[in-house]
Amino acid sequence: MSLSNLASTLSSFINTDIQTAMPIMLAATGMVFSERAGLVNIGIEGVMLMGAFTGVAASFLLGSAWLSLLVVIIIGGILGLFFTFLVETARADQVVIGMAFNLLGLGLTTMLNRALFGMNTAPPKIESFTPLHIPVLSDLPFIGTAFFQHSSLTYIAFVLIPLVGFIVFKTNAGLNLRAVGEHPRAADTVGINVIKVRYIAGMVSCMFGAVGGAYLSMSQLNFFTENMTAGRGFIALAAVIFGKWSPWGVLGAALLFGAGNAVSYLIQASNSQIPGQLVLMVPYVLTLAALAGFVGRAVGPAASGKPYIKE
Amino acid sequence: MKRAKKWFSMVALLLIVALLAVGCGSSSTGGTSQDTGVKKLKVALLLPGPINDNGWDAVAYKGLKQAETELGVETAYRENVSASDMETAFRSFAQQKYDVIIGHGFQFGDAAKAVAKDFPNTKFVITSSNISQAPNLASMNVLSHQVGYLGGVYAALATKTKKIAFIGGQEIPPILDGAKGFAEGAKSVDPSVEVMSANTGSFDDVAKAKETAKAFIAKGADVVLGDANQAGLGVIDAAKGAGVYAIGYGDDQSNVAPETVIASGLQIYPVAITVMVKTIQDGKFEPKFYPMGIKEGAVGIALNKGLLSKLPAGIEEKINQVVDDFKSGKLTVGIPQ
Repeated sequence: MSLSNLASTLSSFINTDIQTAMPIMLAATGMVFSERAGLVNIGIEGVMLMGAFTGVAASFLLGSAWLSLLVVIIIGGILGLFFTFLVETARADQVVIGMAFNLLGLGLTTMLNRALFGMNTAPPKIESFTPLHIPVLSDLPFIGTAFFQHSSLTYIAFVLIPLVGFIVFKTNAGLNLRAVGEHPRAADTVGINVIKVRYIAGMVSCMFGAVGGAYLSMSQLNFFTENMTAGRGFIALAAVIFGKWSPWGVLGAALLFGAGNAVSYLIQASNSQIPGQLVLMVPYVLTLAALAGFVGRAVGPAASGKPYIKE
Repeated sequence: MKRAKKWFSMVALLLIVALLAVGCGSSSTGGTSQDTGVKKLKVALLLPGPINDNGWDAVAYKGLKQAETELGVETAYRENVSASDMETAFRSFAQQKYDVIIGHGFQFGDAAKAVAKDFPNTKFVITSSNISQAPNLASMNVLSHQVGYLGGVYAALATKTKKIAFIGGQEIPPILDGAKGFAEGAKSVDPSVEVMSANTGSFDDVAKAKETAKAFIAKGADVVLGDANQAGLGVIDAAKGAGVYAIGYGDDQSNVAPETVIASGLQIYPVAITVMVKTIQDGKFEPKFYPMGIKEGAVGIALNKGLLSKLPAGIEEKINQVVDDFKSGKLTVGIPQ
């Protein structure tokens, strides 16, 4: 393989890696908030799916990608409100409610998709986030393909990483958030409103999750299909643990999983003799190996998954 | 507080049950029964996925509706039938005295075999399979091999880079047959064409199908065919983004991307199902394997006429010749012996 050939392969590899990592990274970044506050939302898959559908439906009805992103964020917030209400105020089991959200997401999006777009037709044309063309940068050889041919949503997502890191680890609000997840009673005694913090964290995390789903249907693709998230929410859950509940860790985990996928696409495209089933395992094996070998013990927030009951 | 909690759990539970019923297992009964004195044939269809997937399940549903209007039978269907529900689904339709129950996909075979013994008066038909069991279980297959073959011929005729690619979904017999036919078809036109192929392992993961197609396009493929039910839309999207051509699969998909989809390999399940139901209606049912190919009118190719001018001259005549050769029996590729 010649040098320029290698470089072009590498640049499209990085492009694919980023594309694949983005929905997972967005959802997982949001979950840094909720998990840090002691909420375990395994229903994020369902939230992503609802976000994916909401984005397409809103864009179809409103004719604007940015406006539909706003709708996605609002719907995400409502879902988060609903989730936190059920697990904190009504004190239902978090795993059960999470599972219910997954079923709700699949059922509701399937039904609404058919109601809105009908049966057996081509997906409708919608306004979506197309790759931005940045003067000079996008035209750079190799580097342009790898880093500067993404949609605006991708760049926003990257900016969010340090922002979330700052909020969670460097601000008072972040300290409160972490206190609530580690020891809610202690947090309560020093005057932190535990329930309020959890409500906010739950809503923010679902907003991120919904946007992650919308990334899939409006940036990586530009249509909705039933169950299109195909398990990405669960990978995002793993990414949070893998990333040790920090946005930078989450970024690394998502990019690693994306890289695993990109490798498997490359191997398949090279018409190698490696059996396809093995190739499809690559991203998962890579994630497992990294989790077992390099990350070390991951200890989550102590009050994870338990509703706070005031005496 | 405690009362409120109870209420919320109740409401939540009800909501979930309702949504499950809507999303995962809707069944409906169509066809009005008029009192004509003649007993109408009752036909039920079990589908592994949703009826609006633009592919595998949609075409079968269309077939059921066609049988209903053309042959005047009474129909019902159930979608998203998972492996664990198959036996129950067969049994419940059989108990409701359905005359014919069609399981759409080879994966329904084992369940049908088990249930068929208990209901000798009901005819069971499994699609994309070749099993049979006396006296009441038959199978039919719209020959995916031939669909792939036509797609391969057309792709090889249209390619400029002499590289074409096939992206399949799960690694199951009809997909593998399609891939095999695709390669054979392409090689029959030009042995020097490089045929690349991969399976994504999923019929849901559209994004994965798209990224896989992009990898092939980066390798130089300029005609790609996606054979992955609804995930196939991702392959078309990848081709559209890269400015290369795609070939649809299952149904005519040229409306998905009129500037990208040059043709679609058709599995004309409406024809296959109608032929099958007619056979049973006429009392000619046998517990055997019924191949449904180009000759039976169940396989074909729909050309996107709008793009013909951009493709090599004479391509339409060439593909029509191949179809005619199958119809006359000169070509018999993909018909199991």
